[in-house]
Amino acid sequence: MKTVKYITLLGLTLLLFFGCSEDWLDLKNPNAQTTDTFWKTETDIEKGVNAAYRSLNFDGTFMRFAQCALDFRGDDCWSPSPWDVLSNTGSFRLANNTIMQQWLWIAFYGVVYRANQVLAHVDNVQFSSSAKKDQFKGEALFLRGLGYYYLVTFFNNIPLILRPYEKSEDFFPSQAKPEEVWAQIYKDFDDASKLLPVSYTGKDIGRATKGAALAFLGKCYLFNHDFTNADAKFKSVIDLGIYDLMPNYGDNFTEEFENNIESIFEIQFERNVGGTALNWVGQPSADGSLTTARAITFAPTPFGWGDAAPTQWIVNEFKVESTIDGKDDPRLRASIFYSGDTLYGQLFDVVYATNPNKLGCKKYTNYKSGRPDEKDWRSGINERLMRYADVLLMYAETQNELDHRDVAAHYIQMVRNRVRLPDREAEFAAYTKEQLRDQLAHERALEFVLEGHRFDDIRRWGWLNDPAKVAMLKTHDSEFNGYTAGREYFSIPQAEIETNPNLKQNPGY
Amino acid sequence: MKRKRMLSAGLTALLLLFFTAGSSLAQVLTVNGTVVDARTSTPLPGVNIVVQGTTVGTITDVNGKYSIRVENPSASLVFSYVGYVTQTIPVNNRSVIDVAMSEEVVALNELVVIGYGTQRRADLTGSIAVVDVPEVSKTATNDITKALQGQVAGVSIQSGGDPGAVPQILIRGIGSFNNNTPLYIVDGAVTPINDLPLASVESIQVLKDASAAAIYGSRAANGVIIITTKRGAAGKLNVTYDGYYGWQNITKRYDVCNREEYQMLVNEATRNAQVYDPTLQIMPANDPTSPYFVDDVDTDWQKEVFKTGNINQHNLGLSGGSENSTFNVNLNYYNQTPTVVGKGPSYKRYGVSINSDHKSGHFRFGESVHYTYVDQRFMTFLHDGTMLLYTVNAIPTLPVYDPTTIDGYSSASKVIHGSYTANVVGMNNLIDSKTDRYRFVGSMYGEYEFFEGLKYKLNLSFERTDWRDFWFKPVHDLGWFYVNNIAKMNDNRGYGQTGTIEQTLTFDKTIGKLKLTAMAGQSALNTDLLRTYGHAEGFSAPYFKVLTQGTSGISATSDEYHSRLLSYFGRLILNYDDKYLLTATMRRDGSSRFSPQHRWGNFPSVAAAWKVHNESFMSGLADIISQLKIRASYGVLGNQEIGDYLYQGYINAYGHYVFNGQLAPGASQYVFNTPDIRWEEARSSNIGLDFGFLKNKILFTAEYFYRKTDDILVSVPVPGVFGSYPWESPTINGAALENKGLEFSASYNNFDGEFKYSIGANLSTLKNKVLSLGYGNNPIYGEMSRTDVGHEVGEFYGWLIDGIFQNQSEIDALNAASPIGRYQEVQTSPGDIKFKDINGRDANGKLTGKPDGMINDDDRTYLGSAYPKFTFGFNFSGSYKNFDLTVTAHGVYGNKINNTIRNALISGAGWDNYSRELLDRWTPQNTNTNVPRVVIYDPNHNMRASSRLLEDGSFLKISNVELGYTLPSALLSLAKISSLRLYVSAQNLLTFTKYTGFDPDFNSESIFSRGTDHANEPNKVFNAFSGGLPNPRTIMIGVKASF
Repeated sequence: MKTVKYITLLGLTLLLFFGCSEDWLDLKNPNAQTTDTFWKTETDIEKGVNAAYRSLNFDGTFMRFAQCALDFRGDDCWSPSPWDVLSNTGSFRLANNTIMQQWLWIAFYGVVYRANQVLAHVDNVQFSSSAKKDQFKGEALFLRGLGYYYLVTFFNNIPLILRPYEKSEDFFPSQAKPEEVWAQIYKDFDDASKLLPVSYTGKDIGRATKGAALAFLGKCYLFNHDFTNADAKFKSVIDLGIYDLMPNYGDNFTEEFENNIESIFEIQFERNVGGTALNWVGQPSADGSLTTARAITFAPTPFGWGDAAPTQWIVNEFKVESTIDGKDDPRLRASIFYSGDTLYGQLFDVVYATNPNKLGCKKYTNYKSGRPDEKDWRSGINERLMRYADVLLMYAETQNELDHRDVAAHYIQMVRNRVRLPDREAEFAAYTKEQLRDQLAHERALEFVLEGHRFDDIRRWGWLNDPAKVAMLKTHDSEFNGYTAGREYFSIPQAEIETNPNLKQNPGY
Repeated sequence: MKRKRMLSAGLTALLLLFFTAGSSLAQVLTVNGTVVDARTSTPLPGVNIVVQGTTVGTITDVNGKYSIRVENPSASLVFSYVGYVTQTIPVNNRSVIDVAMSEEVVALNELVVIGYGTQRRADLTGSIAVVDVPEVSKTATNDITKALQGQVAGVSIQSGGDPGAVPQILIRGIGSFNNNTPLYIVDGAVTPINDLPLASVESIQVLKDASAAAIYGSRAANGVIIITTKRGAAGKLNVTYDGYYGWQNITKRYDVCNREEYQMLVNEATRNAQVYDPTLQIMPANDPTSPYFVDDVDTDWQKEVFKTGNINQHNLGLSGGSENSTFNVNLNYYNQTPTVVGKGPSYKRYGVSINSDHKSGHFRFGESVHYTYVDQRFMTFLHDGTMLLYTVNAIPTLPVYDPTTIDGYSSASKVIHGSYTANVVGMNNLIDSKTDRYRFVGSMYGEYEFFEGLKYKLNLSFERTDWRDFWFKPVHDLGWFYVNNIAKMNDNRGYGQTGTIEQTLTFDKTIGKLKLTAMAGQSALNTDLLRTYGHAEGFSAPYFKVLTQGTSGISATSDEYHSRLLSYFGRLILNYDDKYLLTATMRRDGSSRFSPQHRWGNFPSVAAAWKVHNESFMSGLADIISQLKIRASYGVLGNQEIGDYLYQGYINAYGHYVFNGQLAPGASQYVFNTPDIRWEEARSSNIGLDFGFLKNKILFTAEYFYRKTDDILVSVPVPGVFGSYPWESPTINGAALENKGLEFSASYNNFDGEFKYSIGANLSTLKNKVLSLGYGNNPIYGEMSRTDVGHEVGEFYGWLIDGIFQNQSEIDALNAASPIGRYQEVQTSPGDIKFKDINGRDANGKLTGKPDGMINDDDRTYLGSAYPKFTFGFNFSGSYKNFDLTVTAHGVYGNKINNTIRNALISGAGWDNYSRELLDRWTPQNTNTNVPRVVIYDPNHNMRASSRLLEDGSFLKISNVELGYTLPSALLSLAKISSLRLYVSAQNLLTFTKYTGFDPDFNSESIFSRGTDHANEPNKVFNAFSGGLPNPRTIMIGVKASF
């Protein structure tokens, strides 16, 4: 009897021992779709494209650092930030290991990678119409071109990656020659310009257009002094006939007139959609905010952090010429806070009573939003990356370089007319090429103050190779005291060099 | 088992006594008395008392009391008790004989819990340290791990002093890059042990080598700590109470500038920078010509912030039972208040432990339940700032309070002061940051003995922690960078749970001289983690801190993670003639964290020991060498402590964008999966020698271990060219590491006279080396550190200092000799640090190892170790009559620390307060110094990683001094108290160190930055391991009583 009991119990025990089956260990991620089931439908592709746009809204792209990197190095803007990562950006003194370089690098490569994922899968998916497919493909190409444009102008010597990650060796690419990168950028923008629609309606307004691709393509040619090609592209933008200057210059930098007739490409920001988490870096979170921290970064204290300030030189430059009514150039008041202004419901002269000469960055701030300041970090003002005014003045530049000074003068005056500056078309037409270059430098400085174009302009014009011009820049902005040859590009981020032994540091570091 | 046998022997003796009592007509004497533990003075129940040379005997009752009739007044009584030194005491006509029994220094017959079983201590083959629980219990702490500091050779514990802090523990060095936390087993349940009251613990054993830990093979690579809790004993109800109350203070201060010194230095730094930045102006607050010049404030922020905190604990124990059922109940209250002004950090705990054991025939069952509720408040912080840093570098020119601001606390202005520290007093008073944590740890067992030697045991255990992390930030103005206009709240909740089913079959058999124990088992473990995050903004005063009161930004998000582990294991223990011992273990584990083809791992181990002292040739030396055991082991252990689902790629569905004001849903892959990841494996060998001299009065253990970990699961930072951030890098089996070390522990005890004492000491060394790293062996960089093949993990790395530039011509000469016309930086000037040129590159870009005339990243080199050359602990405990004294100390030697707080104070480059070290800075007048000039923005990067930023981290800490007095039992019996001990103690009394930071004993942020003292971010997540407050000095009074 006892024996039977023991055997039964032992048998039961053994049964328990081997009762567990192997698929008990198969667990699926309950939080997200796995990659093997994605990239199958038109909706997947559209989401992928949207995620590529979203990559423009990271700390290293246009949430903050891209504007800092672009603006601070110009002579119209400097950084009084107590945070040396920002203040040393404009004075060319950054250590190699700061997050300025690292975030720019990762975030713009994020744009490229997101676009590459779309491009790798777009041809394997059935679309409702070929127009849709062209559009998504064009957008991805445009965004890749845009990503590489910023990467090559920030870092010059960069790896060129055109497909998604496949195996671990892919992690360690070598740098391509800058010419190769530029060739790819031309190609991407050119291909995009052939695929993208001229315009959108409804919930698609703000997507990359044919005009945007052409304008950036022209800008890239211009950067590399290929004036003939640049000229043709700007001309085709103008010939699209859908763009014009906004009557009021200041309307280009507020939330009210986004995606307006002057706008060719904007980074879209919005306070009222999405969550509130700032998502500076890392993959987006479910409650991520779709806003930019540009306003809080640039706005003067106590309304923002005052990490940026206009230089006195640019203010003086505005005073060189008055409007036909004998007034100050209205672009000054639209771009810069100074005495006599009202900001965030307060009088400038009361807030800054102790510092009457104070200058603050006004462009892209929410100074008349009704909010007391920028300190919730979240601004919904779209960043206008390409305005029609820019196309007009770049076209004027190519026309000057191609010795069509009368056409150049015409387009320069077109931009001046909006702000009621005197008609000097005939005078400009009679200028030498050199004189007209200087005039264009002056016109562009005023038209695009605090829009991040100035340093690229200076570099394109070769000023940094000209000791006299460098000396002049130092008088405009003492941050140029820190400039030394090679520092027109950032150092390759130290973290990147340390993880990828195939990379070489840029000269000058 | 042993104890039970003795118990029955005692009963037999008692019976015999009754039989003999009546027949005796001679002068019979009744001897009474109490038997207590010599060290703790707690009564010892069940002590065997026999009249020498007779069978007359008795045992002590639950209060340690006995009574025995002695026929011959000149006879002697023999007191014996398992684990204690047997005493023979002549009666000498006395009727009261109180006895204090001393523990054997190492109770060699003591049973040690070895995982799914027990083993006699003398028979251990692996490396298992048994912790002296009564001794470590003298440490007042919320966390058991803290009490182990300095107690066990080979176990290194870094611990900050935050109430509720969770120390970082490393057993035998770094084996892994992911998780170096040992596996904790409490009464058979896998569980975190923070929040478990030390007062309910009965035993702690630390399994260090592969053979000892092998039975837990899968997750034992970092060692195993097995904890059992106190259980009841048959007898009448035993009630114990212990409690203490203490005062805590942070005593160390940084030497920072007062107002005048600060203004002088910051103005000098500004003037030095005006050479290149003419727009820089002296801040009005520091400018005597300005109407905003501050000359009537001189705040000492450290004085304002630090205050006395309190610590107290009450613990009530109830235990008892009958022959077949015993129980133990423990109630615990623990409270620690902040040592800084404001709402936190503090830690309050309510705990209850209940267990019971029952038997009926061949069947035994029992359970163990622990439940704790913890109310923990954190220091509050904003952005990446740290309260301690803001305390020391806050400017003296700002008062603490300012009635004109919205919150009543002063606020530094960017325009007037420039400084961007936050007002810490305001910050820690205004912001709420707390967690409520409820933890249940329960286990239940049933055991059936089929026949003598064969047992089946089923063990079910379950751990569950529920928490709520609450954070509320009101509208405030605490400095220009710390203005909050929108009140915000987080209400995050979640739970984690682990359930385990384990069954084992054990077979014991003695065949002649061979004793055999075989065990086979299976275990299945399931873990779940579910979290919900709630957020709301736009609260208006008066604040009602519930999400529904928010008016904007309201969001709810959640995630969940699950993992499973299935294991089969077996163990064979052989003991031949009590001389030759062998343990062999095998474990096979399957983990849900790996893909089906890489799911299973096998983890074998073997260990052998030779008890030389039991050999006949040693018998002549028995009086001198009481023990000589040689042990050796080898085994493989596994590790799978990585995130869940990493082998599967996933789509992030939150990459949204906005077009024309409308949400445009976005999705993409952001993080790379690694389908081929598999088990990490650690192979370790251990050789140990156990010596005992003079009847084990002197004990000495020496061990050597070597551990090589292969296929380490590591997230190797990949380049950013695919748009992923370093912390999002994929986890791969990428690295190999070795750790080796020597461990010594020694003790001497002398319980012979009235002054009884024991002295113990331990010392261990550790050397780790990286053998390979993932993805082409690229180094991993941490904070000022580099982890590279052939070097230690997280070795300090940076530039060497070559003095200070004394004049411009020195700089010009170096610039002229440089191939790029620049030796160092564009704006390097006299007074700046000259870094050492040690390396360059040839035309092919290869490093030459030779100076190249310029300073760049190539000139960095290794600067020292974050690991101590050795770690040591010391303890003394002694008693004289009713007094007892304990002193414990521990320390480390030979490591370096990157003190980030000091480094912020010596940068001389901003508007926050400066260290007084900078009063000796270089100026044209003060050139004989190694402190560089002060200059805003530090254009020479004087603060780059360099030997200047490192400090000697060696220290010796007197961690506890405790003086106790046990009231005489005669006095107590009147009050029906069986024992009462009062004590005073001082913890963290003195630290001998050259380190200038708050505390050389701190929690570090990561394995790669182990030597970096941040003292920050204590509340990143509820179980964050980093930073916090330094260890306070604690003065306590306490009482221990039993009834």
